[in-house]
Amino acid sequence: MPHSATRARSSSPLKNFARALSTCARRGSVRTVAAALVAFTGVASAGAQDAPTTPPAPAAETAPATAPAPATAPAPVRVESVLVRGARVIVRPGHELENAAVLIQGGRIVAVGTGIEAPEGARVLEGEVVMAGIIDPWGAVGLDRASISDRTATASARAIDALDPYSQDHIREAALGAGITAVRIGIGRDGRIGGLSALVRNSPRFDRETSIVLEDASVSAAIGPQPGTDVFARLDEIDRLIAELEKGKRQLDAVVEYDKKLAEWQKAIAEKAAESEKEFKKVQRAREKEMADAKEAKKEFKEKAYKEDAKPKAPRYDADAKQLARVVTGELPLFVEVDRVQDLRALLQKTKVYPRLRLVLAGVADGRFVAEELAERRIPVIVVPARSDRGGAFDQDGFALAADLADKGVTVLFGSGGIDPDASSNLPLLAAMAVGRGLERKTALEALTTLPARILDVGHRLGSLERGKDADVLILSGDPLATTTRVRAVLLAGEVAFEGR
Amino acid sequence: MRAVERVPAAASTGRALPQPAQGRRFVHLASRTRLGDLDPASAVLPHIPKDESMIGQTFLQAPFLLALLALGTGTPEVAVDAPVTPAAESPAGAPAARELLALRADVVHLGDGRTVENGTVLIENGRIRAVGASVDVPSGTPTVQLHGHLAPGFVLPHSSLLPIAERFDATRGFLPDAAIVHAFRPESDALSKALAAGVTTVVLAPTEGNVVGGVTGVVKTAGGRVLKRRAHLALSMSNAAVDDRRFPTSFSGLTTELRRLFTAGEGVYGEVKSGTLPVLVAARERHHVARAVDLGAEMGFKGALIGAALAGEQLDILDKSGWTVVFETPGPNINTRIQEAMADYAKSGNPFAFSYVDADGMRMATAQLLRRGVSPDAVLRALTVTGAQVAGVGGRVGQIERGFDADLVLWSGHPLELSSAPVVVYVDGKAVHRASTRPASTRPAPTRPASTRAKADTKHTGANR
Repeated sequence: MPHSATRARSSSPLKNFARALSTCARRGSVRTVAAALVAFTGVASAGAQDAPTTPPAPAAETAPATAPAPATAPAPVRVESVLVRGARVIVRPGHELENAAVLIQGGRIVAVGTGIEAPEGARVLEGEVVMAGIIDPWGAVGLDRASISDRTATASARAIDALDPYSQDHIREAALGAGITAVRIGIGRDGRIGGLSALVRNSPRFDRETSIVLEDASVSAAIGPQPGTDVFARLDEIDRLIAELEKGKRQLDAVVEYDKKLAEWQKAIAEKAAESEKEFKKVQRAREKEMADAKEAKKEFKEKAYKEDAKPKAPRYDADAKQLARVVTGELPLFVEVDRVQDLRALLQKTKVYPRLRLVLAGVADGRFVAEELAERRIPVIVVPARSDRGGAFDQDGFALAADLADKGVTVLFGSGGIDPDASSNLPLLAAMAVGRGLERKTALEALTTLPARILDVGHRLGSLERGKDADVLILSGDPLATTTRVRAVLLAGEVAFEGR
Repeated sequence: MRAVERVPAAASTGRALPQPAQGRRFVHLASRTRLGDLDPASAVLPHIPKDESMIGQTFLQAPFLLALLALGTGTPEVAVDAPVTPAAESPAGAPAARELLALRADVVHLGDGRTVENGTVLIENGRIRAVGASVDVPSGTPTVQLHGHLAPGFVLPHSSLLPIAERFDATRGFLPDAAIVHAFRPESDALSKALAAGVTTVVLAPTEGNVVGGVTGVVKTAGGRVLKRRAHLALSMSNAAVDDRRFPTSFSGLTTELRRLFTAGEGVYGEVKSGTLPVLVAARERHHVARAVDLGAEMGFKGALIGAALAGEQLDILDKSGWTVVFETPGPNINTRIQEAMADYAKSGNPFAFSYVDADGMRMATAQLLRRGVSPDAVLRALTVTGAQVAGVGGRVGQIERGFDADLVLWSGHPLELSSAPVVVYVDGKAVHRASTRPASTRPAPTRPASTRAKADTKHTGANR
């Protein structure tokens, strides 16, 4: 950010410029004046050049075998290929191939289709059904448990800072064993705003590069009875959430205003500098006179203040407001856990003023009452199993909710609830249960793969087995929604991360 | 002697009697014939198997024949309330007019692991008279062609169906004389939900909050019938039984008191020791289980352990111990270790069943076992045959077999597939519940569990393997 770079400078550019000019005058060199000018105009862009770009080290360097590769060096290009053959390859829900194969190179899918031959040296895996990894859009795998229910989290609190990649190995393995390859994890479930959620792969060994898909998948929030809070607190819960959004909107306005003023200011400075250069002699004389006057009066010499020195003030740095601004512009989706019909109605009503807000609702026990509006505004809903501590006032017939909402045209996803890390592995079972309550099979499969990828803005990387996407691939013994189906193997970014017994 | 409550038989008017077909043949999958399996019609037919004709003689009484003569042959109707009266309990010659119903389904799961494709279940007066691939249905019998899988109604030998106030006494730890069946309310919402989920028989049980919670009862989820008033003595040896506000306040105190009561052997404790009353012991953690098994060995009782989530890690004491584990089904979020232990126990071949909290929890628990490699046959057996055995109504419900109550559920697919749903539930031969909407999943699933491919005539597949 340009303004953060300029914020570090102590005195004004014009004063520096005047000082440089006088130095030049003393030396009588024209080249140094030019150098000073260059130094001045270069100020704004200097920040960007601070970090010199190191050329990537050649991959085939003859490094001694014992020396560990430096952590910063780019990973050597893997030409390792994996060919996954399946009797039934679900490229994406609704598009399936029989007796087809998926070719993976360098962690990505390079070809999908029938008649693909295995390249030399490629590892070949086979299975009954091959499909993309399942994404849990609302889980808790890998999070430190206390952070999950943090009550004081703010919009800029990041879930990845609460990640504990060293424990929960068995939970990650169980999730992989159920076909869950990525989970959106969020903290601060007991607070109003839960901070920045992350999208994390269930890698058996944590590796920042492949394990973290997104550091800022969304901002999350919760409406409803928070444990330990005053019951009356919920009266204005929606208003307080809206107040947070307003904070983001104000921040956004302030930044836009600042950028505008900054540009004007820089223009004014440049004009003044050009003017001063033209009247170099005059400026020099005036300055020398002032210095002499000051000496005579036994006063400290002060550089002349120019009106152009009045630099616009950057908006106060507010990490939370910054993230909330990203939410208001629709850069980040806002996931709101909300169940009761009155909360749903109020939330839908009061968010109408943010046309670019990308709302995703989770829980939504009473969703049937607002289904039409959810469909019309294209607000996706994450359906979760009934929770004992939250929930709508009306009896929800388990997973019939998913089918009922989908019938009305609402986009439905499944989530494991964001409290219990163990629960992610149930996701395919929840989807199957929803199918038992009337949801179309294709819709259920989309809810497990393509839809969460799209809603989390990683549709170009995850969710289906199309060319160019990350190779998060499941090899199953049968239909993904059949209860007896077992996961034979899971590939994460092209590497075998799980092999079933 | 079974204690069976039943609605008095309705006046037997307007009941149609189908014309018996000549040369008909029943396909019996079990050779066992009990007194309750009476087939009145067989008495007047030629080519009768000997055992049936002999039993049938019981019914060759004047009132029956009069009824036979008096009845016309109009369109047969179903669902007149008149359960078959087992001969052993019936006053001789009670008018037992027949109501026949034949159900044909794509797949019939008998409950013990066997299946019949395109099977027919012939129901007479609310009981199963025959089942098989080639049942000769008397002409004129109303026949329903069902699309899907027909399975026995589930039997859950422990449940939390009653309101907590009826299941727990905070003031006293020992209530040996309490009979929970007094709290049975047949119209309750929880019961109809269980019915809609395919559960037709449940054991009503107290909570684990009382050391001795009283005597359990077995009821049907439809029709308000009590199958057994005194099914088990409910004990609790879990943390909840040890309360710091009333006696006993420690596991030592709890065990000492139970030892004293069983040694004295008065009342229900004597019944338990003599083997007439089994026990249901709430034992959640591993030390609870170990303590319960030890005390049982010392005092001479066995039964079912309710909870025992980590039983799979305790096979050293539970393998072939004679105890049955009844797993709790708290819902989707069972932790990984417990899921693994449950699966290990189920794979060990030892008997297990499920407790009922709600429908989703029950189905989720079964699905989790399947996902961990437990065979569908073993899980289905737990929900039916084993459940009925633990409940103490093993010869009566939980199987589709001659003589059993016609408690059947038509599923849209394999009953253990989560994408399947109950479509029609029959209790005592009557359709008591129909799903309001037919789920999308009634279209055939791309794959079917292996068990559905098994033929009827394959021998017992060893359900627990």
